[in-house]
Amino acid sequence: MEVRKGLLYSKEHEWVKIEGAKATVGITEYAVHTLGDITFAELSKPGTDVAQFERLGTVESVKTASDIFSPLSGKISSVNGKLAESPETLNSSPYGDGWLVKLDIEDKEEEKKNLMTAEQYEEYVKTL
Amino acid sequence: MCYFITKIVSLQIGLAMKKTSLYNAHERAGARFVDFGGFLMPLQYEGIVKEHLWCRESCSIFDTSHMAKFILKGKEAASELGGIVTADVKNLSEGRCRYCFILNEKGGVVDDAVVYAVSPEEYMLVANAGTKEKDIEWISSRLAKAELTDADTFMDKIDVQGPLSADVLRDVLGTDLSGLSFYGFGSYSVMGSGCIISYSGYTGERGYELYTKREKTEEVWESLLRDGRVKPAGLGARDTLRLEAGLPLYGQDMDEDTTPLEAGMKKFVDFSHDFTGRKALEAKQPEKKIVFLLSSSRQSPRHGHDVFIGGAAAGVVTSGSFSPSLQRGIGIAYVNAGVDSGGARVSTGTEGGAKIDCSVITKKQLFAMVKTSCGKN
Repeated sequence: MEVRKGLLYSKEHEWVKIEGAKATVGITEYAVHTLGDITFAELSKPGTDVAQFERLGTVESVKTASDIFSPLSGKISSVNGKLAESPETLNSSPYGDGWLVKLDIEDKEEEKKNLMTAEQYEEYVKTL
Repeated sequence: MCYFITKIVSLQIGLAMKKTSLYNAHERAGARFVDFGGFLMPLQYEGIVKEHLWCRESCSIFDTSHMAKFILKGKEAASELGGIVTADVKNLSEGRCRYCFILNEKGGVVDDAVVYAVSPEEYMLVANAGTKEKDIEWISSRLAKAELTDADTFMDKIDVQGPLSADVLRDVLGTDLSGLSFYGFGSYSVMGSGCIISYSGYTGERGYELYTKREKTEEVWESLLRDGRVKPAGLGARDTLRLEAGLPLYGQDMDEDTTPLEAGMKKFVDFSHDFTGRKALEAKQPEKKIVFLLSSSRQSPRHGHDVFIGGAAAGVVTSGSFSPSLQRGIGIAYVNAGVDSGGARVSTGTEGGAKIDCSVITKKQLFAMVKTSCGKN
């Protein structure tokens, strides 16, 4: 299962890619594999302020519904509209076309300490 | 994310759990396993949605060997078993099987089962895996003369379901099942060994249930899989298929505090004979009633959600899932018996949480929509 280098990870299996004052958030391949066929995704609207680890939305698979939590605080600048029509994109491309939201962020050095590197996340998943 | 993430069964748990004789075959096929009724069972192979749709269009095979299989023998078997289940066993013709309930004195469901009339002095009873020990205690304490045998020591079960199932069984196993009517069964020679096959199932599709001798089970399974029309399906697809067909699952949609009348199963309660729980069913007004839900979106009602009618809590969802055929959420719920639910708009969810908009439909309407949508696909 791929754990992509250069991203930061939460214990709840979200990933975040930080590029300056912008961050892209998604869920990991481990998460989509565990959930199985993803059938529905609903996310907070653009403009919404979220705190770190605050609920960002819901992803449903055939069997279950799961809350998504924001790995960093920020303001949602855009939501992946493709997921409403094609939630299965999350299964096929969790680190690419299946991204969930983009955030406008400020300096997050403190919050980043609550997240894992790719290597740490890989070790963490092995313990589950 | 993933407060409710499905737990992948760890090796340690796996060692303590029971496996069916097809476990290695499932592992080779890349199955993901789940604990069900004390067994390590395949949840899915290539994915629930694909497996589900394959069964509606072609032919799927399911390992259902975990289910409890009992044999009752003796001159008194029909009358004694008949006193325990809601089917009139004495009047069940040889070669016929019938869905029925084992009830407690309050009319609540101890288990649901299918009774097979093998001969006037021999009956097979097929029940749930998770309730097996309870069933053995319940049944054996109520038998005076009939002899109860645990058939799970030598018998497995494979469900062959889907519109092409009869063709597949004819071509692969050489069994001509054209003479069987729905809920009829017979004993056939399969791979040189006797095998009971019934025209029945738990998917809503045309299908058959095969009771194989253990030494032949894997050979039968692998032979069926070699046919291009056949794919294996796991318990995930079995659950979505039965839900689309409006079939309740014991332990989830029915329990010891639910009567078959509340579960909308009156036609499987034969009041022309005497059985445990009958008096309570006749005396008691149903407290709740089963309803079927169709979500207005892809979002699904879920087990444990409350049902709200006009903003007031009026019931609870017992099964809910995404319907691969309808591409919408569907569910089974119980609402208070007094609620006028026909065609009602309801919502499901948790108190204070987001609500999922659903309409109440009948079991017939639900499955008719499923069949129509499959025809279109």
